Amino acid sequence: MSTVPRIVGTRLLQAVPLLIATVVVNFAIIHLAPGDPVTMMVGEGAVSADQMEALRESLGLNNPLHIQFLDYLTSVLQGDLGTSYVYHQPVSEIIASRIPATLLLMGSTYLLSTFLGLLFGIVAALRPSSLQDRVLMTIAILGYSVPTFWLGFIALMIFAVELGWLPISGMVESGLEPGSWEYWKSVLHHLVLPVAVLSLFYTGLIARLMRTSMLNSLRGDFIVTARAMGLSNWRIVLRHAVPNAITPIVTVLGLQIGLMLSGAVLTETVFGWPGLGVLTVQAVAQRDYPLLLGMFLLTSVMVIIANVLTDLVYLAINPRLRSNG
Amino acid sequence: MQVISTRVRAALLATTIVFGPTAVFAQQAAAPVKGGQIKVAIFAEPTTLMPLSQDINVQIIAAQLYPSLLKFDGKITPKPYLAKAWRVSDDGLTYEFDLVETAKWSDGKAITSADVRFSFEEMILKYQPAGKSNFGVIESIDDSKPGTVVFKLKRSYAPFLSLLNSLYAPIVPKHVYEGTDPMKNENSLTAAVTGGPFKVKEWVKGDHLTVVRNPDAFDTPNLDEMTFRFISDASARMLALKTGAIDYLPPSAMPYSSLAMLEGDENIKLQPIGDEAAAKVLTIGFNLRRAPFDNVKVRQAISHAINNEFIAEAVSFKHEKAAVGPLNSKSWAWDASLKGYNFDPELAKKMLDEAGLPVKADGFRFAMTVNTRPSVAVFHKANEIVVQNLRAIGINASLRPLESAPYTASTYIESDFDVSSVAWISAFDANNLAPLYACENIRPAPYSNFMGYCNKQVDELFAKGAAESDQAKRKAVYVEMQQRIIDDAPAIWPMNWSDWSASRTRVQGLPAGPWDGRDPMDDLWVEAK
Repeated sequence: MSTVPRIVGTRLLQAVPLLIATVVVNFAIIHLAPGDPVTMMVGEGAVSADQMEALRESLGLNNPLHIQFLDYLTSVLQGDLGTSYVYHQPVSEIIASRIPATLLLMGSTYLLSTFLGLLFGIVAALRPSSLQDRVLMTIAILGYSVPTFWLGFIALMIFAVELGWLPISGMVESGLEPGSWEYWKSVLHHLVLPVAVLSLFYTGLIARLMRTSMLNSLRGDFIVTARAMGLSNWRIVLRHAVPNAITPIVTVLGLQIGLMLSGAVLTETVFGWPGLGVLTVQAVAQRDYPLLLGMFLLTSVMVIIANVLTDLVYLAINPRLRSNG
Repeated sequence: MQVISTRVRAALLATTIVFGPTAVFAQQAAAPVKGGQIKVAIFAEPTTLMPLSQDINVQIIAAQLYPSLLKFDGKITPKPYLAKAWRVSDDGLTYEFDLVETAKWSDGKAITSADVRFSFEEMILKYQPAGKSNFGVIESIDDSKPGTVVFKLKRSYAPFLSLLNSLYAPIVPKHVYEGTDPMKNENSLTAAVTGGPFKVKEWVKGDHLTVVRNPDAFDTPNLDEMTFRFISDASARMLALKTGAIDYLPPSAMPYSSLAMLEGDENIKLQPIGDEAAAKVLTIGFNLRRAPFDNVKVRQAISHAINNEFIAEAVSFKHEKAAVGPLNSKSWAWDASLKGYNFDPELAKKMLDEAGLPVKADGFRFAMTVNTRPSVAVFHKANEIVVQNLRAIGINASLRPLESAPYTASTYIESDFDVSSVAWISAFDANNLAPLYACENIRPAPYSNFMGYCNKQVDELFAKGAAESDQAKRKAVYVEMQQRIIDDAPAIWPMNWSDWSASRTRVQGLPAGPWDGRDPMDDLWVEAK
């Protein structure tokens, strides 16, 4: 019984050096990239070298890199992610303000594509090389390989420009009372296209994996036994084949959860979705070091948490791990 | 066609001011309608609402929220705004502005000369990067009478009035900003206390920001409401305009490729903004600190090798002409007598041979790199052609694509480049070429003389032109200056470059000033649907 807390404990302990390593690497990468936030901040207009020097001094950019790093590490350990150079607001507040939009987009995509991907994979594997298998796998390969930004524009051209059914950009119409019925209706309306486009990609990925895994599972001896016992076909598939096929899929789903908060950069850009992906792109362009580090840290933490969660799900679906510890 | 409509509108606007809003011009255009709302696309969320920010998306919105003393049309004709009248002394040293008496901040306090003085002395001169070079000429500001502000200048300075616009000289409330760090001041995030034609209604982070008519403002806009949507992708912005989800794309949000795709749509009106005033020139500058570009003969030879006509046509989808020299030919200070470099690759080869740079065994004279920014379509397409032109005369040229931060660093700060491109808005006053071509502006800072070009005679002409107040005499000075710069060839100037705005046809009275739509949109109105 003590297996679960022990595994969680071990994983969390392992996460500490991992997190510190992540912070070091993130910090190094960002500061090694050419370009200087101060030149990006002053923009156009003749500015004197003195003014730039003063600005650099006030941001602490003149300190030696290891001092800058220690300052950063100290404040991160105290829960302070710093203040954005560009927005002049705490990084944590800026990121928090964008999380709901990204969570809504990625969460909907995640649920929809997991459901459809598993379904397509199972249905395709039941009759390999049949028409249904070929149709589903063609869609899956297309979905997985067509670039989402291209697909996004084609979808916009058809459903927003030509047919006019769906809105073209943004998350909500202006002037609606937040939380009202009309507001959520507008959000759902704006959500359809980006979720559909993104889901096609993830559905394709999951469906292909699930099909392969199901085919392996259906060849297992336990399936032969189940058939010999005279169990119904559906019972064999749902109670015996699927649970055995799903373990590798959990790994992939777990990884995806970790990356969910990094946002879908290209899709968010095409559909003007106010999420974390667009924020990260702008932070890169403006060399907004604190904001970028905050985003990287968030993504790293999410990946680590997702890994721990994935291990727990393994324990739940695979009893063998529990007994062996 | 579009240029004419801009002029008609400017004329209409001028007449309306003289005769008052009751004047009827039934044949030219319908009278402005009060009320209604529009949606405007900008390409990123504003980073703050502080009008001194260098973020163009902030500047577009801030121009609606904060007043300036004057506003301008496409010809840079000053028009009354917060200042209802002004007087300039004969010696050009004293400028007096009478403020609108009823002008109020949105918290009910009066807008007075003290706010104007504070905005210049404590805000613009201290926090705006261009503040010192624009307004360093101010000797003192007198705010002893609340309704009148008096500027004393150190010397006569012809461009002074033209700089009192909402972009360079926004007026902010003294009682809110005094003694604070303006970037961290709460009002810079909320714009709760404003005095311009509009005020903020809602800001949905990452999605849109809506402003509504400010009922207490000294200047009443036509529209009830404007929504600024943040759409970072150029194609998505264009599609939004085509479907009517957006009514207006300010020039900064409109690349030439969108222009080509919107043309022919009868619901869309395209117009170059700012008329002559915003006109730029694509400037591809040499690094004069490096051999062989320190040799004027080499620069002249390369100037003959570049096919300017072809670049202008290909890059702008036939909307622009080749440039002759550092000023756009729409500028008042440009003259048809200026002599540039004709496209003559054979002559270029001969000149390079004479300069001691013959073709070597590998088939090339020398190697060079061309700095380019793939995200700026004009730079990138032009530089691709430049590279081909250079290779045709035996120079082993290659593109050096850089993302914006390293591009700025290599061009302006580290001077680590052979040639690099910039866009220079200078047409509304030729004096604005000084940051790029005057000796004193060679320094490691953005938007400076990155080429390292220095000609004392050119510097003298800059000084002479700025001190002269007679327009015709100024022009003569600037024409001479341009010809000297052209002869020295510190850069090549392949094409004139204008910014275009696009709007649904029902939108009227768009800002015509030169600042990329960063002007007050108080005259904007929409036809009833």
